[in-house]
Amino acid sequence: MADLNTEEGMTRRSFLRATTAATAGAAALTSALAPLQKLDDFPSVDEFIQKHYTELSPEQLSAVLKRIENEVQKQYGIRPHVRALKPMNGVEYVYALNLSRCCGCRKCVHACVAENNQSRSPEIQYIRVLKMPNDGTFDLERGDHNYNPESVPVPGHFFMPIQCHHCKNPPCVKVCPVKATWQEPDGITVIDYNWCIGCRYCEAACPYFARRFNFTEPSIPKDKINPNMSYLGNRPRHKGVMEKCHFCVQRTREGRYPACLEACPTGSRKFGNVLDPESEVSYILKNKRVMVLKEELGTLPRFFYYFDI
Amino acid sequence: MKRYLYFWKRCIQNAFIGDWRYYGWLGALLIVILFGVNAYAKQYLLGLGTTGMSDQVSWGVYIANFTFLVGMAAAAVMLVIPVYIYKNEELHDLVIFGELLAVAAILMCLAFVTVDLGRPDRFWHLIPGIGIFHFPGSMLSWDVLVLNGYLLINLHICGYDIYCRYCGRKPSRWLSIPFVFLGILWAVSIHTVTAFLYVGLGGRHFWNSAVLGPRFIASAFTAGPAFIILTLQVIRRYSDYIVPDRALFTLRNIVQIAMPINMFLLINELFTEFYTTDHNSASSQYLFVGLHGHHALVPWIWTAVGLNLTSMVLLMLPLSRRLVWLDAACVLAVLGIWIEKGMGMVVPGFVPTPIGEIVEYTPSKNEVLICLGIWAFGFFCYTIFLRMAVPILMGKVTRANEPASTQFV
Amino acid sequence: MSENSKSTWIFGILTCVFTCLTIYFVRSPKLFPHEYKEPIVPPSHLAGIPSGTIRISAAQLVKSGADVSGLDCYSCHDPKHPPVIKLDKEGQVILPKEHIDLIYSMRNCDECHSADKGYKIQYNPDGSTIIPKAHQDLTKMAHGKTFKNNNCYNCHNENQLNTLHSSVGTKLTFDQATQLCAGCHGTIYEDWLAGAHGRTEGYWDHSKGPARKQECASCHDPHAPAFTGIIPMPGPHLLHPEDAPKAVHP
Repeated sequence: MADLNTEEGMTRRSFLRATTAATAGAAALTSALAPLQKLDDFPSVDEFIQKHYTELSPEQLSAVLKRIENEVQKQYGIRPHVRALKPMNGVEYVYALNLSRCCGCRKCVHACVAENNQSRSPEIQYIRVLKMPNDGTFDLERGDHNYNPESVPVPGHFFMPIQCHHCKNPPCVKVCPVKATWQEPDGITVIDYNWCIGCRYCEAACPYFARRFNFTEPSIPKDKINPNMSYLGNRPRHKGVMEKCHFCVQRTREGRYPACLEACPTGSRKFGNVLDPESEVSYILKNKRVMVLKEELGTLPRFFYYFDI
Repeated sequence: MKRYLYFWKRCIQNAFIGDWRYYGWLGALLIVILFGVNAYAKQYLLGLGTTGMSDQVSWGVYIANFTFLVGMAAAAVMLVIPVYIYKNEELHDLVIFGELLAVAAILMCLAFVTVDLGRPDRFWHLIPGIGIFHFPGSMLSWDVLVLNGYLLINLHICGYDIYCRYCGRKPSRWLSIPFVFLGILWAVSIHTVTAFLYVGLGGRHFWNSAVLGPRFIASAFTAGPAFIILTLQVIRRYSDYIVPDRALFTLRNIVQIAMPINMFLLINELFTEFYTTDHNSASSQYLFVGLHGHHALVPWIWTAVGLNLTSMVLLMLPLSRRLVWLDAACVLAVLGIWIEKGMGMVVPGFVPTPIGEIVEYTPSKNEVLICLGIWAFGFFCYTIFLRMAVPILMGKVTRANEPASTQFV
Repeated sequence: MSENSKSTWIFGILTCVFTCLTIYFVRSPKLFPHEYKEPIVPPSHLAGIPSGTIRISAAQLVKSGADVSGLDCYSCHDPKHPPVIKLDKEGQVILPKEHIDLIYSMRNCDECHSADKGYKIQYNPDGSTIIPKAHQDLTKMAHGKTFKNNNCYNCHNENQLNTLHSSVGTKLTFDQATQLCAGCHGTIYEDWLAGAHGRTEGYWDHSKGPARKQECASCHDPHAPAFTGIIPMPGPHLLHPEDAPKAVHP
């Protein structure tokens, strides 16, 4: 081996051959990075240094909202209205779903897709409806996710939609390393899409398969954009971040029903403020046979399934 | 300070000096790394959809390799115990090789986690003080802390030791011994924290088991020393450094204990999952026997079990005192544990999904290229580290041998 | 070969390989093999917000100021002679064919059908509606599974056809029909009052706006109250369709 302890310079030949190989290597490295030329969604400086939603001052927040409105206008040609709605005092949301009445039509699924500006290609659906046999079973493994009969309901089966349960003891919030997902005082578990690093630990932690990840850049047809947006809700997301049902925060924090509830033709979905004793959800929790999924996990979901008939 | 910088200059200079086999090896690794870089550029452009992962199986070979390599990094410190606790000075230098391996392994782990992130440009969100660091709630935050801490500890121990050897003086006890013992404890902790990443998910019954942590440690202490046995022989063959057989047999003893413990824990797991087949064992059924007609992983896991058993038997026999058989046993052990801890532990946790859907996972070509690129990067780093360290440890490169003008007295 | 020339060979090979790689990477290779086809989703009104109702009840028609001349029973019937109910051989009421068009005209076909697939109501030469086979039970008297409530005059007042009457004889107008339903379906009526039964639309927070409930007859046809089938909308898509499970789920 060459004598390592001297500082003799290399011979001209060894210098030349090393330099040639190194230059070719550097060229190969540069061209290996060629796909990055096509990168057009590199974050702007403002977006890159943006702080967590809960740490933004009011001025910073309105600057962020304006920036998002500009971005959406640039991308889709429609000027949206992006708001940052605060939770209402004295409100805790609860969702109740009537398993005796759900007919499995999936209108809730697609109403959600339309309302919340979800990607259509690949299509992200927050709500997953299971077709279960009327066999005395609640074993989710026996559910059929891909049913497509000519008409629903199907005799001998019942249908169970599953979406984010906004648990009181949420495993997803516990595991996020950067607190990009947290639970607001009104019970909604939200995600700051500009803070999420895309590690997908929350998706592994959720026991209800409620969380979705943007594996590719979402694509939404321009004419299907819903311009009534909110920061924590239905503004268009980008690749590499998580998203999930947020109880239509842009609607519910204004006092309206979520889109899935209004689309349901059989009135199986009920939503409201459980702290209000006159609300329909309080009535249901008091008077109906109510259950939650996977109660043994201690997640304390705010999504209840009940039976009428 | 000037002397320290000059020491680094010399190390870097030495890294460039080598014979044709050195350049051939590094060149081949660089080619693989380039394919990996190109594949990652495509992934960065298009998103993680270029991998085989999906909402149903949201962690794949990246996290599988990460888990395996954290174990390797932890076990690299196994040489420390005989040297510092049993005061076996002959093996002192080999501690450095082990710790350099730990550094390379940790660098690979960090690379695997980075390529797995959806938004790697937002890594600064993890830095406490600047971002929001969810410590102590999130186990991932613990993992970030312990892995980086382990990297720093190992960098300090071997860097300090090598520098002292270069300067020809004995390392100060206060600057090395406490860190060495901290390193032993920390090694167990990095792998336990990684295990807790999985154990802490109550909705995934395949992982939510008390036996996962001990299994991780046992399999790490099998695969790690086995890998070091192989690398020490490579060092023996391609450098002038004399690696005593004693070192190899000390490591063999460690593997002889750890592998049976690993198999015993496997038996525990199999009994727990299969004696009462309830729905908590759906993932185990998918892995070992197939579930509802899906059995893509069944041949993998039984191959891994077979490899581990064969390796265990070989190690128990006096046959493995002969290096050929010892090497075979080590290769089998490393492969078996890589399968069992990688694909055999990460993917079944996602099948079936928590609401009963079965979607299988196959890594895409892009994903495999990135994995190979990172492995090549790890080997590349380790080769360079050895190239810098071996001459100093052998006494060929010391400050005393430098020209007078560079002494900086 | 000397060490030096071996090194030269290695460097030469590496240079060639790197150059080839440079060319290979720069040519744009096929990047993303997937092409996601846009899923076929019916127009957004079907997934619709706000909600429609499955049928328009007589009360709704009256309230909306629509043309209700067709609902005036005495434009066809004689006030002095209450209509006689005809029964078939099983004792079930035969719906007069003149009333069938009334049933269809009060239905919101869009709620179950998708407008893009097209649906056409077909007519007989005499102008009456042809009943599709799938809708046979829409045009039967089918109030309840045991058909015991199939007597028209259980609800309709035979002496005053434009009113209803409860089981205890209280006279009710058409827009008080819900009270009639409540007389037998009391538990559901209680649920409906509390908001736990039926479609609602609008605001859960009544201080911000109303929560619009529907009357019973706006969703349930009193003559055949059970809902018929709906065509389900498309299900979920796998991100990697080539990984679709090939085995059939039992």
